[in-house]
Amino acid sequence: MSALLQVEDLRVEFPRGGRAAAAVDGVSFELAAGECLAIVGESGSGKSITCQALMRLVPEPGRIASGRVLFEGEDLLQRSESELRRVRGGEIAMVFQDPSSTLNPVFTVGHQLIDVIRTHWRCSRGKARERAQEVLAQVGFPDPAARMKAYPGELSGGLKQRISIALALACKPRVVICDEATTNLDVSIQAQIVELLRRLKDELGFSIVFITHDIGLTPHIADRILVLYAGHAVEEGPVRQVLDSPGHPYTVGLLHAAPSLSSERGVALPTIPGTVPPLGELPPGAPFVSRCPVAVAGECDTAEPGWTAAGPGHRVACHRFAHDGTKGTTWVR
Amino acid sequence: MGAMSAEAVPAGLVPPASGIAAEQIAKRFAGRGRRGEGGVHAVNDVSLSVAAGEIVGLVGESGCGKSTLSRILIGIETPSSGRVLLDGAPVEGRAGWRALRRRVQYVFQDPYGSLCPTMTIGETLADALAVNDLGGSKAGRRERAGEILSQVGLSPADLDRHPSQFSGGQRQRIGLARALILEPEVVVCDEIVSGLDVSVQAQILNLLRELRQRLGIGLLFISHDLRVVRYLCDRVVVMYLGRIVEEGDVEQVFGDPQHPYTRGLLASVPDHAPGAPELRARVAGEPASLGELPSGCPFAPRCPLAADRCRAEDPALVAAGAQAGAGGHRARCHFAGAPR
Amino acid sequence: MSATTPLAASAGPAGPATASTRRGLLATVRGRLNWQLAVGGSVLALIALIALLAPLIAPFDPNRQDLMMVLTSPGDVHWAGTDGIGRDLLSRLMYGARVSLGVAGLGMLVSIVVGVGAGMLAVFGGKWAERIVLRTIDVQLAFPYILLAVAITSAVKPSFGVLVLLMGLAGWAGAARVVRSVALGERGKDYVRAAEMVGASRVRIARKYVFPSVLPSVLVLAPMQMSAMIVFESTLSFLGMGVRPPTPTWGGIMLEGKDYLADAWWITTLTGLAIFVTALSLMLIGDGLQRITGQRIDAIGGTVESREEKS
Repeated sequence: MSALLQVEDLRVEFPRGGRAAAAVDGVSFELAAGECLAIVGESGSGKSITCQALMRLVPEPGRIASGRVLFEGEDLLQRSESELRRVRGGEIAMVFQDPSSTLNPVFTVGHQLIDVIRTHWRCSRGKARERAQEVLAQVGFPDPAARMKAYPGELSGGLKQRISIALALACKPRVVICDEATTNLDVSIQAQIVELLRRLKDELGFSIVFITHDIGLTPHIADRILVLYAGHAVEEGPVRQVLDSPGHPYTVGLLHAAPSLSSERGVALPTIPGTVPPLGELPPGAPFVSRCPVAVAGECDTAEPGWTAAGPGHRVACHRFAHDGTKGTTWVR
Repeated sequence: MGAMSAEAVPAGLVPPASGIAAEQIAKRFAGRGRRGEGGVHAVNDVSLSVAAGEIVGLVGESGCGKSTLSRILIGIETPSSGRVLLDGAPVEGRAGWRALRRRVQYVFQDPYGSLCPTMTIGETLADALAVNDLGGSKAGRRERAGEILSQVGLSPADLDRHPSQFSGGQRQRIGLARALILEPEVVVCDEIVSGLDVSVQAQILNLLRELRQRLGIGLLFISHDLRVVRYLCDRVVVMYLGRIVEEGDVEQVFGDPQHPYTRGLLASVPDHAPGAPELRARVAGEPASLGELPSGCPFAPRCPLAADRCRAEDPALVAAGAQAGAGGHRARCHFAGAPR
Repeated sequence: MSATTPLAASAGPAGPATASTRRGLLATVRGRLNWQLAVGGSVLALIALIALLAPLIAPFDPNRQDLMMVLTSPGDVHWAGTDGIGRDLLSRLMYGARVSLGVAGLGMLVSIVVGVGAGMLAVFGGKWAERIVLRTIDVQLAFPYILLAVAITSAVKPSFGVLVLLMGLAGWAGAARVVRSVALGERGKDYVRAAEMVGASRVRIARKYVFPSVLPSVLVLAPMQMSAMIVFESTLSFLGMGVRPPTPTWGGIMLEGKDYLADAWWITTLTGLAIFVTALSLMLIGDGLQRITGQRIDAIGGTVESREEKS
C-alpha cells in the first residue's frame, strides 16, 4: 500500500542570532490511508511546526528550508498558494487546541459550516446546509438543525471542540491533523472526543496525524507513533511496540517520567537530567547527547545517528541502540 | 437537607491537631437577580482536612468547585456557611483569617503569570518576609531567601535574576519557594504541574515528595490528572458539581472505586502502561450547570447506573468499599458497595 | 499577533527568556537603540539646547525693533528674515522655543503625574474611588479643551503657570486611562494574587509590584503627549490665549505673521516648520520607545496593547 501522505527530510528554519536554526531537522514519515500516526514530543520538539509545515503554514519568520511533502504523490511545497488553499480545509484539515480561537464568535455554527463547505465545493446553499447537518450528526449532535443556529459562545469547551471537528470534516478530508486537540478538555470529555475520532476514522476512512505531548494518549488512538526531540525524529514504530519496548533512551525516559495508573507509588520518578537545549544551540552529534545517560563517548557527540531497525516498522535513531539494542538504552531501573 | 441522615455527618472527620480542615463548607454565589436569583451553589457541604505531612489529592473537572474550595481554605474567599479549622481551632475574625493566610500558602498553576516580571526573585521572596515583618534585617531576609531557593533545588545565585530568565519548571520551583518561605503548615498546589512537560513534571513531583518528608508540610494537591494524583497523594477527594462524591485512601479509591463518576474518570485516563485497558468514555454528556442542578443525585443525568431513586433522592456520603469505610473510604451513591 | 504567538508557543527552544522581558528600563533602551529614538532624540536635544542657550547664541534681542529692516526676507544679516516691526525672526524662534518646550514639558509632567495617580487610584482605591475617577475622566474628555482654555484664560490672565495647568488638564485624563487599563490588566495576573496571599497591602502591591509594569507605557505616552502639547500651546497662543506679548511664542509669531502671509511667507512657514519638527521629533521618540518596550498605545483613545508573548 502506497502512502497517502509522505514527508521527506523536512527542515524548517528560524533565524536566531543572525543564523538559521533548525526547529525541525530532517524529519520524515509516512501516513497510509485510514491510519492514525501520533507525533509525540515535549515543548520545543518541533511537533507543531512540522504539521504547520505540511500545509506550508509555518509562522513568520520561519521558513521551510528543504524537504518534500507528498500528498498522493504530489509535492505540496511546490504548489501555488491558490492550489494549496484548496487543499487546506479540503483534502487536509486541521483541528486545533483551542476551539474558542478557531471558531468565529459572531457567526452561528451553521453559518461557519456552510461557509467552509461552499468555499471548497462551490455548491448551492441548500446543498451545503444539508452537508452541514449531516456532519453535525456525525460528530454526535442529536439535533443538528437546532445546533446550526447556536453561536460558539453558547457552547461548552467540549461541544466547541466537536464543532471544530465538524468544521474539519465538513469537506470530507483525506487527512485530519489534530494539534493537541484534546489537551484543554476535561478527562471525561477528552475520552469522548478520542472515542469520536476513533469511530469517525473507521467509519469515514480518513487518516489522522495526532499531535500530543501526552504519551499516555497514544495507544488509545494511534496505530503508529513518531517521537520527536529538539526537531529530530528519534524513534518511530507501531504504538504498542514502541511503548512496550522503547529503543531510544529519550523515549525510555519519557515513558518512565510520566506516572501511569500502575506505576509504583512512593518511589522517586526517574527524570531526564537537564532541559531541552534552546533553538540553535543543539550540540553536534546526536540531538539528545547532552542529556543522555547512556551516550557513547566519542561517537554520540560527533556523529548524528542513523536509523537502526528494531522490529517490523520500528526504528530507532541512536548509536547506543545500534550497538547494544534495548539492553543498552533502558537506563531506567 | 432531608436526605442528610446522621451517618452523613462526617464521623471520620476529627480535625487534625496540626493542619487545616474544612467543616461542612458551603459557598453560594448570588445571581444577577434583584434578590440574588440565579445564584449557584459552587460548593455544597464539603468537609475535608489536610494534616501536616499529608498529601491530599483534590480531583474533579472544571466547575466542580475545587477552585472555590481552595480559595476558601487560603482565606481569600469566605464560606457562606461552615467553618475552617486551623490546628483544630476555628478560624474567626479578621485576625484569625490573617493568621490563616500566613499558615496556608498557595502555588499557582501558571508559572509565567504568577511571578512579578519587574522584580528579581530575591525581591519577590524577601518581600513576602518584609510584609509579615519576618527575617529581621534586609540582609537576613536575603539570606533566608537564598536558603529557601536551595530547598527547592535552585541556587542562591539565582536571587538576582528576573523571572523571564527561568524556564517553566524553574518558575514553578520559585513559586514553591515563595509559598514555603513563610513556613506554612499546608500548601495548596493548584494544578501546578499541568502546564509542564513530562520530564519537568517528574522533577516537580519528586520535589514535592521530598519537601513533605523534610519539612513535614501538608499538601492539598489539586489536579485533573489522576495518574499524577495516584502516584503522589496519600488520600484523594473526588468532587463533582460542588460536592464530594468519593474520598478515601488512594489505594482504595483507585483500586476499588465506589462511585460511578470515579469509575468513569478512571476509565477516561489515558494510560500507556502495558496492559492498560483501552480508553473509554463511560461518563456521557457534560455536567449540568450549577445554576440548574437536577433534583436527586446531581450525577444522575450522566450516570450509567441511574435509577428512579437516584432522580428523586440525593444520596449521602457514606462509608463504602470492600473494607467498609476503613481508611475513610466513603462515597455518595445509592449503589455504593452494590455489585456491578 | 497570531503570527508571533505560535512561534513562542511551539518553537519552544526559544527558551525561557521569551516571556515578558522587562529588565531595567535604561538597560533595555541602551541595548536596543533604534533609528526613531536616535533621530528623534538628537533633534529634540538640539532644539532644547538652542532654547536653553538662546540668550547666548541668539544673534539679536528678540524684541528689538528695527524699523529700517521691516519684513526683510531671509538673508545674510537676518538668517530667517524679520517680522512686521523689524524683529529678527531667528532670535524670536529661539526664544519662542523656551516657552513652547517649557510649557509642553512641564504640562506633560503635570499630566503624567496626575494621570498615573488617578489611574492607579481607579484600580487600587476601591469601588468609590474608581467610580469618581472614571466619571471625572469622562467629563474631562467630553469637554472640549479649547472651550476650557477660553473659559480659563478669560477668567485669569494667561501666564506660563496657567498654560502649564491647561496642558495638564488637557492630558491627564488620557494618561489616566492608559495607566488604568495597563494596571487593570496587571492586577488580574497571578503575581498580584500571590502578593496578596503573602499579605501585602493594596498600596504596597500598587507601588512595588504593579507600578514598575505601568512605567513602560507611561514612558511611551509621555513624548506623544508632549508632542500634542507643543501643537496645543501654539494653537492657544495663535488664538491669543497664550503667554502675553511681547514674550515671543511660536503661536504668537504665527498670529502676527498671519497678516503678512502674502508679503512675508517666511514668518509663518519657518515658525510652522519649527513646531512641526519639534512635534515630529517627540513622536519619533514615542515610536522608538514603543518599539523597544513592546507597548502599543493609542494616545487619544487611551487604549493599550502589550505585545507580550506568553509561552
